[in-house]
Amino acid sequence: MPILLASMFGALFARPLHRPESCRMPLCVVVEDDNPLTQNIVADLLGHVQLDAHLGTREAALRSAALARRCVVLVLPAGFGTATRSRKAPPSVPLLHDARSDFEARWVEGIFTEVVMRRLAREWLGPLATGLSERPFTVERQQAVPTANAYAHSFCGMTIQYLLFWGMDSGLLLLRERRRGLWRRVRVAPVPLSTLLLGKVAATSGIALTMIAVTFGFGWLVFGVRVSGSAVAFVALAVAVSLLAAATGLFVAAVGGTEGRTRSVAILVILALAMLGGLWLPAFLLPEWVRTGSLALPTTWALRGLEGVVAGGMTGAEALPSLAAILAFTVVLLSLALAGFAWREVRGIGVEDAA
Amino acid sequence: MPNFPMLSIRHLTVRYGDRVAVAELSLDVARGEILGLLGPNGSGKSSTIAAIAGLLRLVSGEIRLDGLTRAERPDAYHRRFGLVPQEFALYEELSVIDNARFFGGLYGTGGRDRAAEVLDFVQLGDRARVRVGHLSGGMKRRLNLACALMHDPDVLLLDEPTAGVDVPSRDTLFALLRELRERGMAIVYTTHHLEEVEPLCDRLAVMKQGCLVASGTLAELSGLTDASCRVSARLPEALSRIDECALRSHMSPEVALSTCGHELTIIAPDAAAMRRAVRALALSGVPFDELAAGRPTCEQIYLSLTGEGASCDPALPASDAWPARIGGSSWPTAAGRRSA
Repeated sequence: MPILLASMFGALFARPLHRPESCRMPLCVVVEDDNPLTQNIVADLLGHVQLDAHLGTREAALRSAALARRCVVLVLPAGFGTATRSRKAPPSVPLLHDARSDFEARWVEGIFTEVVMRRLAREWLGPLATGLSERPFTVERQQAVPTANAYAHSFCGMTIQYLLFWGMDSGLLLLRERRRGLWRRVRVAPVPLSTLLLGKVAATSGIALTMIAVTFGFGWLVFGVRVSGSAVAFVALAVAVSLLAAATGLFVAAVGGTEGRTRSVAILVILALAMLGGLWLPAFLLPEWVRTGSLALPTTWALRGLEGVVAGGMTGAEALPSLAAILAFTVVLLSLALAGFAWREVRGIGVEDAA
Repeated sequence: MPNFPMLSIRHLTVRYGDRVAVAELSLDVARGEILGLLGPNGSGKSSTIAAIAGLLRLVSGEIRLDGLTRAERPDAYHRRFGLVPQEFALYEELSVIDNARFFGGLYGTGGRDRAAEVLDFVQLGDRARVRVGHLSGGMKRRLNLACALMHDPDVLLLDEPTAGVDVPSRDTLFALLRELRERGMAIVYTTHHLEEVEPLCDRLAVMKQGCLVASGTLAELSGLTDASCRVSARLPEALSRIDECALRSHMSPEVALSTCGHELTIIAPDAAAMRRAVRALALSGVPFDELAAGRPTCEQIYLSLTGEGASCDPALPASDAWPARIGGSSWPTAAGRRSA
């Protein structure tokens, strides 16, 4: 499942580097001004390489935006050209967009500003502007880390999410063992509780590490996802995240009640942690307050570390804060779990069965 | 009964919060003895088993296994007993032998040879490689037993081990338990199935509301050496409530009386009391066709001791309704081993 979802998310967000048309912004331009400057600006917008622009009426454009078709609407009102040229009273240009398209609207605003300023430069400077009508430089886009690709984020995010799910499942297994009398049977053996819990942590972590190996192995073979940073840091982070999964499982088993109810709550919590921690979508798409608040979540640090090492070329030293944060969360969860188990032992093992 | 108790419980008290689950319980189980622990739901049987197994904290009292307490030598204490839980406490995904080896491994006795030996004993040797999920209920019960025997304990604690098992499987299990008894194992056996107790257990301990109501052999509990303490009278017609009350007024308080359909049953603590009761029946004017004497069944003793029997409901079979109490008095046992 993590492989499937990571592949799907990766395919959705992957953008070929040298094909700008693959990420053109849809724009509807409403022209209510017949000034030549306005007409030239419209022509520039329609031919812009980063826009998928088309003309429309105000009514249709408004309806399109109201229907949330992810379309940004730029309205050039009557008198726009004259007012812009005179510079006396800057005209107001309505930029209509869906509530979710704030990011796209800012993008369009930037491009529109660039187009208008170029046109004005030509008009004001005349022949002197010949060299300014085009960019006096070229942009060569390159990936900061050549070996990283768009699948890296989705493979890191989905791996962490499913490690948490595995941790939850291991906790639910322990709850099931308790319900079926297996835990009582194990506890009557001359084995200390700490040894039993250590065994659970080792088994859960071992399987979690295998999951990481299989998922990233698939990502490497099929999509070319490679560790661009420190390999040692990657292994250390993988172990830490596996321990975090095991600690999550013990915590679930320590505080959980019935299996069904615990599963429902745990799934909700894990999905929230995944979303807020940026496991689904890149963190920069989230609001600022979420990004700040998510620093209190283990998923944020786990993703920072793993993605940094895989796609960001992070060194061992740079990965240390993430590693420390993950281990700190692990220790906290393990401590809470141990306290929960100790409390249950005081009440009596299998009280619900024996009473 | 042999002199040396393998399991010795003295003044055991266990609580769940404010609720007393077991109160001042004292019991002994000797080597080569099967003790049947009886009682209605909530009487403290499973709590007693859990306390012996170290799963519950003792508020007071002491439990010794082969002379050892858990506090003194926990490791040795835990190796002395095997627990057969009420549930199928088995890993369904694993094979029969892997389950045996896993639970044996917790005691350091998870070897393949030992597992094979124990599985042969419980007649599952030919199923060693089968996944537990594919076994029948009876086989799972035997495997449940096998897992508790892997470390060769001296005391075996069985918490309702025959729940959901058919009669042939139950008989097989009983045969295994008898063999373990012959080998000198002390066995504590809790059950709701009273018909199991009579053929299997050497002694019975009856609990009610956390207290030991009585313990002893079946004969001791029934308080009988002759058969005259239980008499059934065949009635030509069912007794009306008024007639029943009138009849009760003729009987002395220590006599238990119940009617069920056309059958009237009288239990008395001794032969003299029974003679008086039969005389009272004759004088009461209640017509009856015949009288039959016999000793009370284990179930009747149990119901009498625990007070589980209510006044007779004609819709129920006789065995479900026996016996009613007279004047709220309990029926004293001849053995006099009551505590509470």
